[in-house]
Amino acid sequence: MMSFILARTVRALVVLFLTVTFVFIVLRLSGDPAEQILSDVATPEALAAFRINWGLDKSILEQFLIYWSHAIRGDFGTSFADGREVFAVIAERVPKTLLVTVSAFVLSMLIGIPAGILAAVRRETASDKAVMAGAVLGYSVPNFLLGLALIFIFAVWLRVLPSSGSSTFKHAILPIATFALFNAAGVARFTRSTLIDVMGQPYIAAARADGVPEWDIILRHALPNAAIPMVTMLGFIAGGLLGGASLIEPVFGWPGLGSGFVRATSSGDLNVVQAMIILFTAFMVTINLIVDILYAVLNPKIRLQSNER
Amino acid sequence: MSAPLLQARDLTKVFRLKSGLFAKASSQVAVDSVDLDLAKRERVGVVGESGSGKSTLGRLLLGLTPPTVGDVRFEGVPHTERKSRDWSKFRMQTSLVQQNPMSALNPQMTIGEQVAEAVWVHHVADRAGARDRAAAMLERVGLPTGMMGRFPHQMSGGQRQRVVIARALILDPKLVVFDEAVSALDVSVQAQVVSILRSLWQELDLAYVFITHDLRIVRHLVDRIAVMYLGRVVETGDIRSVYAWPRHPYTRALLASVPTMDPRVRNVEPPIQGELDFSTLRQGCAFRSRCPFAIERCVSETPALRQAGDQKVACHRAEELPREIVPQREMAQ
Repeated sequence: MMSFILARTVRALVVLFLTVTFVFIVLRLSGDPAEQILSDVATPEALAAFRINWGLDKSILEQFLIYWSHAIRGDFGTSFADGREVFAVIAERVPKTLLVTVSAFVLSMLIGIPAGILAAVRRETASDKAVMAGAVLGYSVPNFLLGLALIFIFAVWLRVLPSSGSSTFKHAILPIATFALFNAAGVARFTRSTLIDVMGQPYIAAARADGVPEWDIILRHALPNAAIPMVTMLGFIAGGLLGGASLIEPVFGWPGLGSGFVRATSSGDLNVVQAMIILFTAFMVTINLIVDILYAVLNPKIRLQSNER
Repeated sequence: MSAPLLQARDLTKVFRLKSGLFAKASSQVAVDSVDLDLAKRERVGVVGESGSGKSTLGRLLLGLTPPTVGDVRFEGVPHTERKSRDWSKFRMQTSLVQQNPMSALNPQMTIGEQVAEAVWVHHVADRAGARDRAAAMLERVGLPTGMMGRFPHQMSGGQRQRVVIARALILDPKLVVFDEAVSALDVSVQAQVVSILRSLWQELDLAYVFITHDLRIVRHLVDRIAVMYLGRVVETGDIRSVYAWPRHPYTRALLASVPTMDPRVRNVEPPIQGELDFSTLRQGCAFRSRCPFAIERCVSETPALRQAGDQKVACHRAEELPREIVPQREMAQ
């Protein structure tokens, strides 16, 4: 088990390094930050001074080596836009994004999994159809549009919640709800189909023929087997949280990583973009690592193989 | 013969098929007016090709799916009148053994847990007692107690099927439905499982329905046989009389197709052609489109199951067919 985790961790670090390298090169080839930051009315002298100041006049390889030698020591440079430490720029946004994404993720499981189980167990009944209608609706509406719809209902029409900002907890409700509802729809659909698939397996028929009570079958036989594909899907959803934040946070003027990333990208603030991508990649790689470890915990085939080694 | 343990009358199952939201629903008769009696300790084989409705029949007998028409009585009590406590008792006294032992076992539970489950679920013993009983039962099917902690994927196909049998027999059931219980195993393993079944039957107060498409195997395991075609029983009787003189053209074709080891044997029985033809179901003999002996009467009139020789046959021409079918001479000495 330990060697399994170690191997996956090494692989995760390789993925992290390759992604950062790739993004570093692409970012430097995809436009001149000097022109983006200073706008095209700047004089050639000003542009040249900007490039020298930020080291952009050196070759990509040199820039890359300099970047890494600093990054390893925890220095991600300063923002092109306002000269603040990139680390500080990001650090103040992390808690905001964690608040929204983590609570939305937990909430989407709390809503989606029981709804999916209900729909699967009461298949083809009114409760199944109601859950599935809600899920299809929630899943087919783009999440930023869902956000706008919630703003319209709760901020504009009912006037019970603020539409943008982050000063109180009330401000977090709409972004969390948008995120959670969208993801809960996917979770419910997937839970239902996975459980229906498992409930059709012969070992479920065997348990029924043995007289095991139906709820016992669902809890002790079906759900543990449904857990493996569900972990895969929840991993996908967790991995998509930061990408989703880039879409949803700007809608609510929520000052998290998502809106910060959008702003840094559009203004060509390379150091901020670069550091955020390292963070996003590290996040994604960690999620995958957790999923891999959970597989090993849940699936006796993987668990026992790694023990026998 | 003692009072019947199991009695099925006019058992019919129609599946409604709906292929899409706007598609017109059609229906498919899987089991059609089947009567079946089973005495205590009696062993009945149900044979037929895939699609003949034999697996559905097994599920109907165990009340795992409700019949569209007809009823099943177990020890005189109809399934329709069972309340949940009666069902629980019925489940204790009956079992199902399915075809593929890999998928019939829960991949997440050890085999010890799975064999013991029925014991504590029905409060026959506590968890520790259930474990002991499971160990004893596994030993009876030839598996060492040390295997209790294994998962299904750590065993061979033959071992898994023995686990499934141990699981089915742990509460000394009075009735077991074996649904293609050995078909998925290779021949040497089949022989092992067959001999385990034979010796267990000697020791237990057990009646069973053995569903299979394999006419070689069923002969060693049953007293009586029912041949099904498209949901109907077309021939039924004592296993020896049916094998000695099969009267229905379908039974004849099935028996003629059983391979023999003797190169001198030549198959002279006219072969049946094509595949199951559901369009023949409404009127007349369902087998007529594939029957080498079909006449006009077979189109207009549905043959009823009637006495012919020592068995019951649903064929208008049962008496006219010659006794000889060549490979079969080899089989029923």
